[in-house]
Amino acid sequence: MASKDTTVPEGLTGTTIDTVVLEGCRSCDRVAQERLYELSREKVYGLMVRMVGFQDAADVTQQIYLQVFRKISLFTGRSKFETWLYRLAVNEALQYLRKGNRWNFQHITQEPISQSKSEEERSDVKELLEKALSRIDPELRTIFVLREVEELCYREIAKIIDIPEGTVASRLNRARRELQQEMTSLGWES
Amino acid sequence: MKCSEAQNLLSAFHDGELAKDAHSKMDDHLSKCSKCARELAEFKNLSMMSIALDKPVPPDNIWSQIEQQLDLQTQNLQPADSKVIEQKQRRSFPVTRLLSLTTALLIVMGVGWFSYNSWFVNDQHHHFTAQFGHYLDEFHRNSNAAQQILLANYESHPVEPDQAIERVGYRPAIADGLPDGYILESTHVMKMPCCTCVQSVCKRNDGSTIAIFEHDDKQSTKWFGGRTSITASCNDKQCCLIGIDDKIAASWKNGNRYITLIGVRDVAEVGQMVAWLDR
Repeated sequence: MASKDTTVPEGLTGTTIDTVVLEGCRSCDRVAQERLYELSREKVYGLMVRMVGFQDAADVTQQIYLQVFRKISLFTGRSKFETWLYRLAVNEALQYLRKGNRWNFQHITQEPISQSKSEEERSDVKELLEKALSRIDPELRTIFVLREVEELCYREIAKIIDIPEGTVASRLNRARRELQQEMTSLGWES
Repeated sequence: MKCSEAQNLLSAFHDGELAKDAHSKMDDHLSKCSKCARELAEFKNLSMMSIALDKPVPPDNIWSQIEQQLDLQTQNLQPADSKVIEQKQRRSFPVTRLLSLTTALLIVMGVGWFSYNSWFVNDQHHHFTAQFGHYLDEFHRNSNAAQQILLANYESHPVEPDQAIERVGYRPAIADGLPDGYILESTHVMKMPCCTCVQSVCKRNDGSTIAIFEHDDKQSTKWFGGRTSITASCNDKQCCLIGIDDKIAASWKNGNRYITLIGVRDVAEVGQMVAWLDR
């Protein structure tokens, strides 16, 4: 949120990352930078939790935004800003995993305080899926999350990861099959 | 529609990404094939479970940490006045002294370059053999992780097989498809120290993996370091075969280029691939 002592200029109170916010970021205007962060942080952080795990998601998110502000002048507007941002985020996360040779991260449970029985069952299923996700190849994990969680179409995913659309389809096949195998090995019965 | 084709299209069908024709062919196949229908139901299950995944909330302190870093960067970029003054105060240097120093430096560099280059080439080769050895060891345990080793270490571009010609100047053999029982998973143009190759990862029907490298490195047996190799005739081609764990790696000349396979089951499979890729 913009600090209480700062008056947010016109054009920065909208809900979309528009040209005013982007121009402000290019000029290193701190209010515009914070606005861009506020408008996109949930998507970026959520993607990082799925890609690198809870423990490292905050650190990698921080790195992503520093990169965004460093490279914002390279965004030419040929693609949607969200596509450009996702691409940067995915590359940063994959590089982070490759550098540390950490293809799979340890899934950390966030224990609920109390639940009803059906809530408990839903929670078990979510837990299982998250664990299975943490075990598959990071590139497959990325594609699965972009499709199932971010609900992007194949064309958008192809642009983000810079692969042909046909390869998006074949990798999704693999991701789903491997996830199914992991779920089964964790005791899931479909 | 055959099962092998339907299996490839399952995700695209589930995600509504197929053209109308292909979609109705799939519909028709799924009404008759319980195996594919069951797998589609599993895909649907995964999608339902994904809807229920939590939306993580970013911690509040991320922005303040970003701000701190941005402030630091801003400070580092601003030159102090004193530094600017120092840069302007440069002593003049006698020209002749500068010229003789430069000449001496060039001679030293020239001598150094030749000895460094020969050391560097050998060292590069050892380094590549070690890295490729790591890939081979991992391939036996986990072919996906092995692929990541290559992608992490070498510049690579994912391509459709018939688009590889734009990058390598030739149409790779894999562009004509694979024999029955094999599905193409991915193709990359990969810049390795020895050569730029077209590398394809293929799956057999049982889910096991075979990797195909097409390249112009006539010394591809050196990729395998000190492992023992034999030469055998497979479908009238002289093939170099290397045993790696319980599988075989095979290399042979195919036209003007070379094919190297990783993860082959036996000599019969080598013969099958030689025949297919040499069509």
